[in-house]
Amino acid sequence: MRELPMVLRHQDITYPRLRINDHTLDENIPAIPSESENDRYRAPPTQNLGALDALPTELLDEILSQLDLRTLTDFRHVNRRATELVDFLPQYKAITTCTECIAWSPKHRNWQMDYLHASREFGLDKDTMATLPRMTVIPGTYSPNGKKASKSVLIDYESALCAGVALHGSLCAMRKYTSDMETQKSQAYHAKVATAQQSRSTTHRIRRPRVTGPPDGRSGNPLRFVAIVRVPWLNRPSQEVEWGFYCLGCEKSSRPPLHHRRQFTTTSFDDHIRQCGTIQNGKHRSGEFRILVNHKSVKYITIDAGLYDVETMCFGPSLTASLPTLPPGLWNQAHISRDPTTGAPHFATASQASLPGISRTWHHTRIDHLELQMGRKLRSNVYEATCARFDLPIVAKFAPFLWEVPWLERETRAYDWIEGQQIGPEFLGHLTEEGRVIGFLVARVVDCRHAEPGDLSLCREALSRLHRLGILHGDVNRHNFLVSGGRTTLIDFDSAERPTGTGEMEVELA
Amino acid sequence: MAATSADAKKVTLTTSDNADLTVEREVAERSILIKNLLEDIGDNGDAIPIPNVNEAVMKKVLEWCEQHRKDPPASQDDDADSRKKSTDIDEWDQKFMQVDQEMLFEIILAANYLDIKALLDVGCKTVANMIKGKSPDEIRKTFNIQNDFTPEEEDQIRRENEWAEDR
Repeated sequence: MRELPMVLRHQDITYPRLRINDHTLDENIPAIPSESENDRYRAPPTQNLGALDALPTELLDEILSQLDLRTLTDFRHVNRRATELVDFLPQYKAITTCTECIAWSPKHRNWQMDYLHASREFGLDKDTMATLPRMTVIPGTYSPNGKKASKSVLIDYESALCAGVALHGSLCAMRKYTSDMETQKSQAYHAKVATAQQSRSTTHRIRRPRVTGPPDGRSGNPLRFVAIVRVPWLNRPSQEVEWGFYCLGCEKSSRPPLHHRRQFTTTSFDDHIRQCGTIQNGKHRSGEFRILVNHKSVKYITIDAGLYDVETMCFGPSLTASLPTLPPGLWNQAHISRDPTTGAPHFATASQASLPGISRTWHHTRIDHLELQMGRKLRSNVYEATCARFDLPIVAKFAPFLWEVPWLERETRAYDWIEGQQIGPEFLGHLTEEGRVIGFLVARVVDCRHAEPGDLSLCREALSRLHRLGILHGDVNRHNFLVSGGRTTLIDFDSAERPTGTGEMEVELA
Repeated sequence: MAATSADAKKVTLTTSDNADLTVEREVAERSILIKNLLEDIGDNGDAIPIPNVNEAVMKKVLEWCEQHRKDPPASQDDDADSRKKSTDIDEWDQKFMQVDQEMLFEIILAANYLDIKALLDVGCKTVANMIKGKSPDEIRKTFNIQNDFTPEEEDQIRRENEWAEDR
């Protein structure tokens, strides 16, 4: 729902690519003809797709999306219309518009073996070898020791193993065959050496047979990373490709959960920040928590990164149970760190501070959070709630983390702008905590669903009404339109703005 | 939901060539289109016109529906993830799809129109399997497609495709 703003919010604390040269295929791959090159003028098709033309484009897309990349490129070669279809396929676009990826699984069981090695290890003849999946090594440097890999052919380990077992009847038979072959070769070598010594011939060197071993997975193996590439993750609901990013706060660490190689999506980064804390000056500060003590006072506690695991950090009840004994006296802010002597979590500081709150309040109603009965969690800071003062079901949105206050401030302001305009849900009042405004309450839109493609005109209409007030929503996506009884209610105004020009509005409507 | 006694209820479908086919409601309701229609208009015993599908194709589709009448309905959310590899077609379906190309495409179109997702899936996978592993020329022959590339264009496509080549 707030994926876009998340990225924007975090772009200064993340970075897109590992700042280490791993010598993978990514660093060695020659430039692939890019989409922009493919985009240049191409003659329009003069032929159709023959029998396949009986099917509409969306069904052809469905069929093509089932094909492997190799077949797709062959299909692309059929005629102009086929090229056109493949080029427009989102999955194909996703991998060709990036200039660096070819899909090949980097799983360990898929270690590739060189051709000769595979044929020996599994006792395979030439014909059988020809049937195995293979890949060509793109020459380059794939290991930190700088040893070059030359153009050669690699065989899929698992397929070769299966073919070997099939050819010899069983794993044992195959092993016996290959070890017999090795013995034979080494005997032949020793015999040759003996004859050569007898005849004292030194005309040519006798080659010792190569001894096969298991695939070498260490970084010094010049072939180790020939098949390793960065591949994007397809976010199915949005049909968009995510490349992931790294956390700036973890860049210098290698102790999980803080590890420089850990890659995040917008969603997993959210969890990461929750577990390890917000980032300040390029470092994880700590995890921040809001807990209610004795059903009346709220405490904000920061916990040093990595003290608790993510499950404990993300589920309030188990965290409260795992905390050290709370300090006595008046305090609302505290810090938990690792006790230098015992190594266990302890309260390093506890103090009474004046906490930030939403300053621009405008509604006459104020409700203390203790008056609410919190219900289902809709999102990290949005809950269904009931309150004796209201008959209707309500939704409470507030800032559980202090750094979220500015977002709530903005949204509160936006509700003021749209008050009485029937654009968003009805604003019921400000939510307070010990006198400080931390959020707001709105009426719950009952029996609603998120917008679907068919609701486009309804959504446009709702958005236009917002624009007519001179307000830009800032985070338009289907989850922020609630459709109920033929009308659309806009929600989530924490990115709303009043821009000076109108151009941005047109962009948002598009 | 219909009562148990209604399960054996029959409905009549009128095809594009004016043939009346009578089937059990449960079988016909594999088609979401028909199911929605029956829910909207109520089952008043009238024949339901299916103007986009002829008798031969409808019979084939109903044969599939009969075989799959007890399948659990596909859920909307997980279809993208649970999509199996295209080689995974169950044996009965594979046999069922052994028809001439024209019939195969007609079945796919009918499944699309009648909104029978599982049948559409099987149809698309069958076509995908017909394409898989074939060279461009073999693909052209299979579907009677004419090549309209100029030699230069052909050359360019070959260069563009090179990065995925493995032989």
